[in-house]
Amino acid sequence: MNRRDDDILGAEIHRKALANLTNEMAIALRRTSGSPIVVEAMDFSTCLLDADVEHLGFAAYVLFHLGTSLLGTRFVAERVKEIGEVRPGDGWIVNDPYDGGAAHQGDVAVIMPMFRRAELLGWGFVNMHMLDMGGGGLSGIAPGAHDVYAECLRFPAVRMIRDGKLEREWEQFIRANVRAPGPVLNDLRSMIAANNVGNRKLSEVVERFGLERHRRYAALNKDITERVLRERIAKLPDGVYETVEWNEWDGHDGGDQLLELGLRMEVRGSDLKFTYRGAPQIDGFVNAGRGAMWGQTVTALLTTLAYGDLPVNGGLWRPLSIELGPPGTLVHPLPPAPVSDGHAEVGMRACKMTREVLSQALALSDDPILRARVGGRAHDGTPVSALYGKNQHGGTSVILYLDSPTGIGGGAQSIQDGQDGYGSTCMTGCGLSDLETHEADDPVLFLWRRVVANSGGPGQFRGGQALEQAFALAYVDSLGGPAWNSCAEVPAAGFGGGFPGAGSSYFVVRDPNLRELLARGETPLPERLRGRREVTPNKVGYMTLHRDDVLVIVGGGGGGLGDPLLREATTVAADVGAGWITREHARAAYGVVVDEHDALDAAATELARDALRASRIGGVPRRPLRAPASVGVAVVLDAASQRWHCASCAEDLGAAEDNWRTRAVLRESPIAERYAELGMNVRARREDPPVVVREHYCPACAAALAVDVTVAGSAMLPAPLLTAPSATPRRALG
Amino acid sequence: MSTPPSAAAQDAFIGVDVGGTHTDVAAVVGDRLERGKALTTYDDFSRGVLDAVAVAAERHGLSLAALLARTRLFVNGTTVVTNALTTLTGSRVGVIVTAGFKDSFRFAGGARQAVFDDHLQVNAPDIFSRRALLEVDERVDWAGQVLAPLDRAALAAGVDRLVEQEGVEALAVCFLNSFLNPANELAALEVIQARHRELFVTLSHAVFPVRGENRRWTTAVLNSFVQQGAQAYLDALAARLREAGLAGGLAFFQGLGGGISHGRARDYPLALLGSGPAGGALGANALAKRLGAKHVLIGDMGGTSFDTGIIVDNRLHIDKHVDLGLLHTGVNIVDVVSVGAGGGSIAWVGERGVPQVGPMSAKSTPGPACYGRGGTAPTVTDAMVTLGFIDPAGYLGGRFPLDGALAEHALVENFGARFGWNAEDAAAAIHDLVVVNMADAVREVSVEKGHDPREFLFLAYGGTLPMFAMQIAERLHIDTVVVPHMSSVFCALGLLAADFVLRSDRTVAWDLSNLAQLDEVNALAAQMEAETRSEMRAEGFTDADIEVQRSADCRFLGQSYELNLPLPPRPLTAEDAPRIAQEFFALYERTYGAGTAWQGVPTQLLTLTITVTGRRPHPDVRRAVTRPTPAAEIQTGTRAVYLPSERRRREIPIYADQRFTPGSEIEGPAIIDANDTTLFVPPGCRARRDELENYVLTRSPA
Repeated sequence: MNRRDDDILGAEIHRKALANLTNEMAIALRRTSGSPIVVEAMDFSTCLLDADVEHLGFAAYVLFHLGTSLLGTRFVAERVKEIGEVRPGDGWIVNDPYDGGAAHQGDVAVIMPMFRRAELLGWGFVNMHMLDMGGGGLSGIAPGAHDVYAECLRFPAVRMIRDGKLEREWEQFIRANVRAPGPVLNDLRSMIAANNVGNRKLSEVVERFGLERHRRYAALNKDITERVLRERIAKLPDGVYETVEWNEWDGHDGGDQLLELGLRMEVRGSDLKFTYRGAPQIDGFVNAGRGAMWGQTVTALLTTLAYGDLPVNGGLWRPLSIELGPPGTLVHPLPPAPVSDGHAEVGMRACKMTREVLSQALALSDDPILRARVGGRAHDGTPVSALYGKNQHGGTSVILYLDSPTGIGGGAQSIQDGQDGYGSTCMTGCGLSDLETHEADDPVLFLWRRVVANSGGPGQFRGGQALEQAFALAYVDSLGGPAWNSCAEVPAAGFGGGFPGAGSSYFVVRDPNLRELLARGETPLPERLRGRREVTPNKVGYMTLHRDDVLVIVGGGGGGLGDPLLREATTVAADVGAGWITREHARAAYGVVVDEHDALDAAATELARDALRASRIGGVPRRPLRAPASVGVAVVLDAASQRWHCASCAEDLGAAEDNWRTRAVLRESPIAERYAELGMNVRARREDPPVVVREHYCPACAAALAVDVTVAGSAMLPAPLLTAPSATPRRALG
Repeated sequence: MSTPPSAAAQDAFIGVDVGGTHTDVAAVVGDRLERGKALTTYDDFSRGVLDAVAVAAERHGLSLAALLARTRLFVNGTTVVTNALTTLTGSRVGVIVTAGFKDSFRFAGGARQAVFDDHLQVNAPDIFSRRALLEVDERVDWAGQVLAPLDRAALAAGVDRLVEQEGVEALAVCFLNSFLNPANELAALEVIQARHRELFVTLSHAVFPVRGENRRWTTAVLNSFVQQGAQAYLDALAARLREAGLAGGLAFFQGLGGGISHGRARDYPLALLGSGPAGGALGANALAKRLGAKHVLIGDMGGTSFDTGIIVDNRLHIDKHVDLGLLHTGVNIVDVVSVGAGGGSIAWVGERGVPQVGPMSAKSTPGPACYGRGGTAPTVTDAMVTLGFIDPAGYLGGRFPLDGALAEHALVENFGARFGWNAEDAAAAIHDLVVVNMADAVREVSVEKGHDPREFLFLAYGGTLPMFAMQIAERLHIDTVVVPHMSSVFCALGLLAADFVLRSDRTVAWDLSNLAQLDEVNALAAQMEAETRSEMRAEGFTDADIEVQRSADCRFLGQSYELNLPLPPRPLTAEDAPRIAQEFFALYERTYGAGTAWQGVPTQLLTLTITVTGRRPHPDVRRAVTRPTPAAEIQTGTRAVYLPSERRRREIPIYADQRFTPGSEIEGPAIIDANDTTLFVPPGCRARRDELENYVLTRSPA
């Protein structure tokens, strides 16, 4: 065998060995921790980085840890350079979103050097979400905090571990400052154990391959991953792709604010540059530290572009650069701004913006495989409450049911509807708990668990649907705690003419007729439950539930893909029959008429669809509506003429340097009104400006080209601005 | 039943494994074992079964009728339920669920996979029509109290609609907390049976009386889903066997690793899931006991996949609550992990430009390139022919000659050329990759469960694995590999080791510090034992043949994983409670490492398990007299074989299986050619045949 290609085979075997290594670190962590957050919610990661602080292996269910592990380990490596020494058995604790080693303070990492004899081989990074980190929040999340000091303990790379052991003084410090010291200390020890397993296995790998070959293979694998990602990026047209999002903030008993965020992605050859901007930082927990921003950006990238044969390692980062702009903003906060929910507020908006700009670029690719990666945005929100107090067993219950954040919809894909109960984009592998377990442990009686009708964004492929669940505080007098929700007023947009999904919300039904219903033998279903419905702000520092009060949490759906009028009428009728959408929604969103027996009325549907098209553009369309060649690609750029065209009917939509939206028919309406017509949930804003839906239609065939969600009075969303192909010399690949 | 196994010298025992391609038979008459093989007949499985049994009968010199007439026990393992679930073909099921919770089936416990690619994120499959889903008023709370009784009238009307308008063929009743109090599910059964007596009904508490509605309900629905197909199979096979003269007992083999009666299999067909691999594992354990080996890793390589599992202290590892893709069930089956590494696995070049093997397979059509049936993708079999491991002229005893030129062509054109490799380079790369993939799978089943593979023996069966077994073992630092006698019908042979097994699990959620619950737990255990025992007695077992084991799943309160520990076979006393807690603490630290147990947290005994075993007589296969043959006399010639460890081709000896008498021993490098199996003995290793005619491969002392 010739040498170079013998290397390919060896490098692949070496890659598998390192994948085993991070998996075995994860096994060690799961086995020694026993924390339900690790074994059930899978909120942890185990990573191996080399001495240059590049990833060699990554085992994680929460994708943003790819970003935090890189930043956190870099930070430690820099500290080591400053102090000039690192010894085997040293270990650092990191949970500071500012320095990037965590997306929020509840995620705590143990970073340890990996040695073979005196040789520093690299770093182990082990991270898990802790039950508690002290301070004003539960599990580190504090909606009531006005600054980072009030949130919880913050460790910006503190060397607490010497000779493989947590130092006694630090142990005492932590014991004195967290609510569940036993499990927290145990988890720290588990992370040390996982690092130790990693170090031992790495020594074995180096023993087996030899140090020189270990380094050569690691370098080769990074190069290969880089090359594949670059090949994919190179198939995106060079240019600038932009979008905006709005973060919601109504906490601290203040106003109902919408805070503007923006992302500009530049494609240049095989490089991707992300530049964020954001409104000034605020005194609430939504500000996203560097870890959350990097982590959520790479989350959207992984779910969209890391398909097929592309193992994750340091090569993945090389084509990317992420700029956070000047300090003092939501996307680049400075202390004392609180940051404990930054990963789920501004961070999730960053994830959705990244998904959007990637879709814009993918839609214009010449490669059908890449074009097929366009998609609607996932809901990406966290409707959740944290209640604590005495339970019916005489013990304490901490109710932080992740079922609602798990039960939100995914974005529609070009090959299928979005997944129901997808969870946030960053939460792969998340599961839904059995309510029988909740009822056995906590003083609750569940009343229903249902799919929220009409929650998936309408489209040729529908957005993923969401879960609604309700429980009554049936067995104790009261429980209380904070509650928060990040995506109620500005829901997740679709793509390529697909509509946004429903927003999420929660509310309390006070003094319900629960007992009367049960006494009559009727289960308390939503249509039967009466009581005083109390709607609180989205972000509540403390909320009390009294005996029999019912908490209802309604999840939001993912954005749709493609014009809903292109969805097969029989599929829409089947959705009605299944109860996923209402008859009224089928008619209003899809122009499909379904009779009282859930049967499709084909003739009436044809008329209804014609009527919808006419109402879109204020007259009878000149051309028929056709499905575009690529699902969800509604606007195409003609290479020869450098002009935009409708992908359905080829109508000219202007020059490449202009925004094609100006040539489309615009229908703008306040989202509350539009969603009322569509029978979809969205939280109405308490003050101006309202959120609006801007629907852009082809003037000739009435195809839906884009449905934007933004704020009244804000600028029109931009279209891609491509760089002339000759202007940018293509970077040589690989 | 209390007759000693070997008393009736000419009694017969038959194990039949109905697999995807072949139906395999192992038939023992007296102490003599013969095998039979026939193609599986999908239109009527019983035909293939009788064909295969007839082959074995002939080898015994008996007619089919004569063999069946003297058969004391006929054990059948079948893929009929596994296939129904793999292809999702089953009955039209109507589902009755507590009002408010019908969409639990849609969320199915969460469908999001732990993979990056959004295109792979799909919903759990629909196994019944949404229109056949009926919510009814009823509710039981966390303490087992009925909050709302069943609305009988609404149920009656609803069920009529399901039957008349939706045409449902079976029902599943899925109520919340029914594992604590089944009153409402039982009331529902009463209402249904009064109106539709013929309808098959599964009550969720009856099939899986354990906390967690998602698994319990899914189990109930799947049981009704597979019931019709399973019943047709069971009834047809039983009838044909009786017609053909079967005199003795008939048992069906469960994925749990034991037999059950025809009647029980009709009521709980889901128990038949995974019965094939379980037969192999059970046989492996029986063999391990005869060899005196306690810790065994097992491997079975077929055409499309490599199956592996672990045996610790001669106990099979049971995969509790198995997942079928996105469907989470409460079914317990012998834990066998399957990866896409078989003889037909295809070598390919991914987008990274890196060589890969599997999981795609060329299957039997078109098959590997060397089959000459139009396959052009290079497979593991093609590589092994090219490297000289497989003799193309002698494949399957010469009945199916292979084309080595086609193999080489496929290896170069569709794989190796990309890297500048010739056929041998390409084949060597495939060999190395498939060994790594299998070794990784074996590593996973051992390390995942906290075991070090070095302490294990590797038992390798199936036609293809013995070529790779020793090299997999070397990667894992395992010293000894055993290739069993009649490796290719090993699963059918395993069925003969089967006892009858019934298992009952119940959630008790007992905080061990609360002695007030002791009586309740004891009463429940007594009731579970009495029910299972009486079912065994109904099968004809006497108390002397019945063995009862009790065990419990315990956890620290607040954790979501449990560890299983044995309980004494008697009512528990107040002194037992702290002792169980201590034992759990010790087990936890033994499993997860010193210092990991949660201090100051109550221990909860979550689930009680009663396993009742009805002892069956087993055939005893004779041990051969050791009569070593000198290596030179076993050898039939030499062949040029590529030795992966030396990265070159060498002329090495070929030994014939027929001449390899028990007690004989040879040194590697060597190939042992058996009819349907090829063994490779690498350099530095030895192979010996023991008195059970197994090959035992060991590394020679340095």
